[in-house]
Amino acid sequence: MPNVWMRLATGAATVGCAALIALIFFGRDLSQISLQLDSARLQNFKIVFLSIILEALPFLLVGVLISALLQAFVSDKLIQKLTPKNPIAGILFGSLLGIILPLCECGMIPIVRRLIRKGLPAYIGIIYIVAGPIINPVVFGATFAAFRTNKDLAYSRFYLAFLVSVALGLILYRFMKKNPLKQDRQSQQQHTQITDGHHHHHHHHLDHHHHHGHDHSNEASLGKKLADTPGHAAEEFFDMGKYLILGSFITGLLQTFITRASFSAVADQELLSHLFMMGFAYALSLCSTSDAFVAASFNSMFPPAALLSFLVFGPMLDLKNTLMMLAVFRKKFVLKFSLAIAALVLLGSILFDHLGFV
Amino acid sequence: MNRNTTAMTLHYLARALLLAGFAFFIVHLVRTGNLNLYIASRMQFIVKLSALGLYAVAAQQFYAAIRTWMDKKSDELSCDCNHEMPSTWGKSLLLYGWFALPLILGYAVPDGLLSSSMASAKGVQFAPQQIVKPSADLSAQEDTAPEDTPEAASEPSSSTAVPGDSNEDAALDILFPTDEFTESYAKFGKMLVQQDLIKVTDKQFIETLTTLDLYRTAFIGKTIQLSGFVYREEAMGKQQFGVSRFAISCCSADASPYGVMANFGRASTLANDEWVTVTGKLETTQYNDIEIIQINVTKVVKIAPPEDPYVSPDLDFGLE
Repeated sequence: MPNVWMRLATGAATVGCAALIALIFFGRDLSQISLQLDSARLQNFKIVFLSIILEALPFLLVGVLISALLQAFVSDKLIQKLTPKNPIAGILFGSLLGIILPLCECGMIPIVRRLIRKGLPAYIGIIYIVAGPIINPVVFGATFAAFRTNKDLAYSRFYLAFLVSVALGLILYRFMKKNPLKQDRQSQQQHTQITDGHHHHHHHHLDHHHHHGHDHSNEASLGKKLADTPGHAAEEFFDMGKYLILGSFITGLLQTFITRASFSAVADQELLSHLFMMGFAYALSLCSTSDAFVAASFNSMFPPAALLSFLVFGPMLDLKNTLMMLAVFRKKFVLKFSLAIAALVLLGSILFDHLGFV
Repeated sequence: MNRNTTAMTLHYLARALLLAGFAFFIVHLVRTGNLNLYIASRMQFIVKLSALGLYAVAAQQFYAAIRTWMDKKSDELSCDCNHEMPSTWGKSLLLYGWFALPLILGYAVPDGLLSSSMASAKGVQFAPQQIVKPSADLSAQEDTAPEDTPEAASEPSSSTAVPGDSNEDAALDILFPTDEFTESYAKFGKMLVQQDLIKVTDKQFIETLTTLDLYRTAFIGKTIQLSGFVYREEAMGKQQFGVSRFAISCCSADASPYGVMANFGRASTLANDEWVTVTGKLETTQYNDIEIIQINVTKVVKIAPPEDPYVSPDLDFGLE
């Protein structure tokens, strides 16, 4: 089968190209890289790469399990019944859901995809992805522990995160007309536009492709539902996991090869320091429970307002979760949405700075 | 139909193997004690739990593989969850190879510690008081420091010999001026300064260093002992090296290095990344245009890396 080998070769070439681009990005020529890939650096890379995966595994697993359980036991009707009809109430609900359901973004994305497919208005689900990693009790505790000497900054983190989430929610509600979820091959044909929340067409098209009962919540027995749950979970684990691994891989490379000393030059310029800390948060892809401690270690180098950008932007958007979002949402949507987050966080933290909140 | 069954069986098998691989990797790390290298101790429990979860899902996938093979039925996935198996062999190999990569790296590269090349990439914090006080305050404090010094240097050494001295509390208050941010450090400092030998513990590594740095005038001349790995950067003198530790709060991706400068006549006998316990008297020195604390080392003992090479911020500090 020459076909297979052709495809394999394409894949291998892609990986090779990505590696080359990475080399160019790091501004090193090949001879230098081979010298620097000594055992110490390999070890450093391995530790960072694996530690992110190990740390994210429990959250990812909880996420895919909850998603699988929702799939099996919660009917679309119930979701639609429980969803606030008023958009303002919906946005507030999405922003504050993290307080009841504190999850890392690795766990959130599969759950939100499931909820949106089950009829939760997309803007509410997406606001949860953005606000949840910050506005939750675990992160609250960690942030105050890290910034016990600068409580203003800790409070500002939550106020700004809340304001940015609400603003994003309003923007999404007003401008997002199409279903942001990526459509798989089967349902692409039937894909129709949806407005906020009412997409009953969901079931019809799927019924064409499978032979047996899908509405587990009505037909199948309890035992069958339970037996199916790990299967669904495994599906989603492999769906999301590949992006998690890619994100960890790139983050590991960045942490191993980019030195902190090289960016002290930008710390004094207001706009640059904000942009820089946001870019840094994006590249680091830290868990929101630990990023406050990392931010605290920058206290001496960067003004508090730039740290605020770091603390709010990082959990909302980072390399790892962008890749995971790309698995679920359409590319164009992810791009526009990311730009909106960046603009709002930047404006917000500069505003907080000038109002004297931080 | 039959080919399809074989393909599905192989998919399930590959997934079962990978999931079990991750579960066993976690078990392997727990057994060898090397989970400490990746995950902070307060997060380890949930990582261990996830091994159980992974194992359960792996078992289910293995079962699905057998059932698909026996039943010759490939439409096992009776759900509307819109998942698809990779459509070609090439894509499948790429996907499963990608998941195998961290496992191969995990098993094939022997476990080691984060090294000083990572510490220098991240920048070792030699002036931990900057965490409590932003840099603007540091210069202000340096201005006032000389005025306090004569009093500070003589007072504690003479008064510690006389317990119960009524002046002692007042003297300590002068030595440990506080604002609302540094109160817990001052309290901790007053306790530390009474000790003949101040041991920097793993549990309160950052907090102890911050206290020593904040109230350096009170601690100058005191004997300090701490353990860490040897770290060097270009700006250091020939006799200088850092005694450093990585602080992590969740996993080693958030590691930030802390250290104390050490001055030791035979520093050249110590290699980078070697673990040592140093004992010596506290002094200050100029480094990269700021004044930092330094240990004038009298004794060095080479040690094996501790079981948990990292330190963590003590979340209870100042709350008890």
